[in-house]
Amino acid sequence: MHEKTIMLVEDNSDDIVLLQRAFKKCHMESKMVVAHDGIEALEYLFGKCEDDRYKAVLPAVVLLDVKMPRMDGLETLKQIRSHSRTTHLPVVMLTSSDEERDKLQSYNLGANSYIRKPVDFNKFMDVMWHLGLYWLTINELPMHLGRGQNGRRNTGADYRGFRR
Amino acid sequence: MMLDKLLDSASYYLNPYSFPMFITALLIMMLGVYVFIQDKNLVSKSFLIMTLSGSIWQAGIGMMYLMRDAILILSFYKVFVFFGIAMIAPGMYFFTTASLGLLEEKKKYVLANYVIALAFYITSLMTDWLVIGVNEYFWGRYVLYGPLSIPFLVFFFALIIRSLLLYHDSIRKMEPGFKRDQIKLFTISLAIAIMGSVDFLSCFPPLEVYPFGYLPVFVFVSLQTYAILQYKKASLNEIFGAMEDGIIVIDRNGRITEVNHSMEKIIGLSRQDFLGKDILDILFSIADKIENPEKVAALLKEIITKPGKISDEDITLLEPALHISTRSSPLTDRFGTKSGSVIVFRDITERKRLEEELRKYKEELEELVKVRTEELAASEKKYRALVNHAQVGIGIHQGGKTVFANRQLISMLGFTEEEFIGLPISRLIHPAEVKEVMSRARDRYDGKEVIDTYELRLIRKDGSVLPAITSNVVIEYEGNKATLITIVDITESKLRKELEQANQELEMFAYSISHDLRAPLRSIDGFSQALLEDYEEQLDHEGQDYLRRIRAASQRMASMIDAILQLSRIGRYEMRREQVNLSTLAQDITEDLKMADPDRQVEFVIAEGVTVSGDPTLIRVALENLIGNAWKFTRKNENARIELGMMTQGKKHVYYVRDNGAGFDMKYADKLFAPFQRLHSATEYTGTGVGLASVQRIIRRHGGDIWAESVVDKGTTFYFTLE
Repeated sequence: MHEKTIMLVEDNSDDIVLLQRAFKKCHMESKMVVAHDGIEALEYLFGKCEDDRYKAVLPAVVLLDVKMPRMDGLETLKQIRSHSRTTHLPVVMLTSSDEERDKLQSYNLGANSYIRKPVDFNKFMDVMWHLGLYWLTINELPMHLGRGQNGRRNTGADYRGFRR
Repeated sequence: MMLDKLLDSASYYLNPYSFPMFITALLIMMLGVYVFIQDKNLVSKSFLIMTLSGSIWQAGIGMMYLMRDAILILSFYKVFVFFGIAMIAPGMYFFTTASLGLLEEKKKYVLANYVIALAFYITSLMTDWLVIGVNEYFWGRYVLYGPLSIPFLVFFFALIIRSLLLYHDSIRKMEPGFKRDQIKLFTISLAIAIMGSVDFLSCFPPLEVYPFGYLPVFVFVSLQTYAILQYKKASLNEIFGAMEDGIIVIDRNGRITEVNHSMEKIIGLSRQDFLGKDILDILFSIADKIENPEKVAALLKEIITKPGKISDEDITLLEPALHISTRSSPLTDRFGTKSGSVIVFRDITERKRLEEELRKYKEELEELVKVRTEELAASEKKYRALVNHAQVGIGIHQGGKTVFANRQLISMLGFTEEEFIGLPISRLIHPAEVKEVMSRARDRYDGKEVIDTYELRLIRKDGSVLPAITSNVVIEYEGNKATLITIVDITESKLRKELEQANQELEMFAYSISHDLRAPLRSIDGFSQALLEDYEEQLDHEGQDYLRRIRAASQRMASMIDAILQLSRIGRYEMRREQVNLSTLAQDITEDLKMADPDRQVEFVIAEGVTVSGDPTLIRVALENLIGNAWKFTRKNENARIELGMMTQGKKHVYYVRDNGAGFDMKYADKLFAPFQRLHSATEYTGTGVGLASVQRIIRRHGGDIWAESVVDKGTTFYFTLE
């Protein structure tokens, strides 16, 4: 079975470390791709080889921080949604803020979910476990998103390995 | 006997020398009468007396030439001829004084002379002292004079010479003119008259001089007549004719005695048509040419019957169309009697026309002024209302002092009108700006291009600052240059701007807090936990406790940040009001609380059907906090009871949330609603200290009020009102 990829777009290195730690502790062995801002993320998603094929396999979910340098999360989300390849790509806003404005804008731009990172690491881990469980195993994706470069389908429903 | 002889034709014989005498007598009498008829004034009267005396004298001598009998001649001479001779000298004197206008002062001499002449006459009748006999000459018989003749002739010549001297004096004093020429003529004729006295020489024989005195007498009278008539004609023609006004002279019977050329022109009748006619007859003959003949007739009648009165009246002629003003004045003769009236007719058509034009102009002007005044009043009223009700301040300053201000401007700056007018404008401007503003005002006065609308700070009466926008324009006010200023109070817009800016900053701040301040806390907490998990063996219990404390603190700080953000959000939150059911809301909240802590036993008493008008989200937050507080502080009470209700105070509804929990000391009541103020320790009762601050903010945003009553260990009641 092809290992599903999770893409994390986050500028704060502490948060990256904590998130990786949380995933590890939840035994989510999925491949994690990290981009440090929106531009890096888009480069990854839309980068092409010489034969005009996309370099990267689309991740199962993009975890997108709102506040970032260069290109922030909302702008990145807009770009993702405006591109046919990623129109339906699951994007989860993962951020510190619970600003109403951010929530509204995110949903308006087509975010699939909005999650606030709790300060308490235990709670944070809890959230990450739920998140991984849901997006990697429970959620079903359409064919064009589920299929990687080699045409393999993303198949879910295997969360036996997930442990809290 | 004498009378028989006088009537007996035998007493007379035909003597041709008598003819010139009779002819002279007749001619001079006729001249005298003619003059008298022409003008019955004092001069013509005295002239008549003089000519009559002369005529008697000449006729008497003529008769004497025809008589044969000496006795008859003597008697006739004494009774008839001498009367004429005696009277002619005072007659001449009378005429002289009359024609010179000296009568009043010489009247008594005239009278005295007549008396003396009469005395000579009577003496000659009674005695033979004057006429003593008759002498015979080739031209007929002539009387001989006796001794009385000497004083008589002295008297006779004295009067004549006296007259001559009077005329002579007058000539010397007089300016050249008609009157002087006339007097000159009088003098010459009088001098000639003296030659007539050669007659007397025959009264004293042996001189045998033919008495041709009739010739000088005739010449004298003729010259006098000519002089009188010439003078009269000259004066009337020259004076009347030269006058532009029409003049009619009437006698006291209303008969026209004189009329001038202008009058002929006005009426269109010739002089001959006027003279001697009754003025009323003339009027009736031209009645159709006069606008109101009855009125004019009445006027003329009054002039005739009351000649002493001066009257003024305007009459209107239809043909030619003329407006005429009449003025009549009485004519008085030398004795002071009213002899008639002069009526002056002045053509005032042009004047009337001008008057009419003037009147019309005046009316037009008045109408114009009236209309303009009304317009002005209306527009002034409009402008006054506009100025006084304007929401901006409007004022005028002149020479650096205020001269006008509308109510708004005065109240804006906190003055009364009396205080404000006359105030130096420098007093009204902020000291930091006064120099610049004043120099700008001066430049504007001088016509330089300067900015006329700008922001400035004004100073109110109480010294406070009024931020304003002013607009300035140079106008003319009461004849002098002045500046019209318009002031808009921008306090509010300024405040709003500041507030908006502050809000924006606050929002930015809050946004940045919610993103950035929480991230480090998460690191602190997360890595503390990582330490606890990964390095448990290396850390003793104390070290582990420290890390746990670090985690607790960071989590508390996170919740405080959340609370602050919540509080700030309430202020920024856009409210929308609707009916909110407090009862069901409270029910929901209590359900949630019970669910979260199912072990607790709390009695809820919630009044039913309590509804308020407010924002549902905010009201919910407020109620959550209040009920949540009550839930929290009744934790230690076994018989906890939380109540929500409503009571009415006057017209106001007061809502309350009551508990029987821990309560607080009322002396700290003022700190209750301040953010981060806690009346209980965090260990005893958890919380951020922002809850009640949020509640107060919510209640206040609804225009209401909140307060609390509490007794320690007995419980607390929060009361609140909503607008």
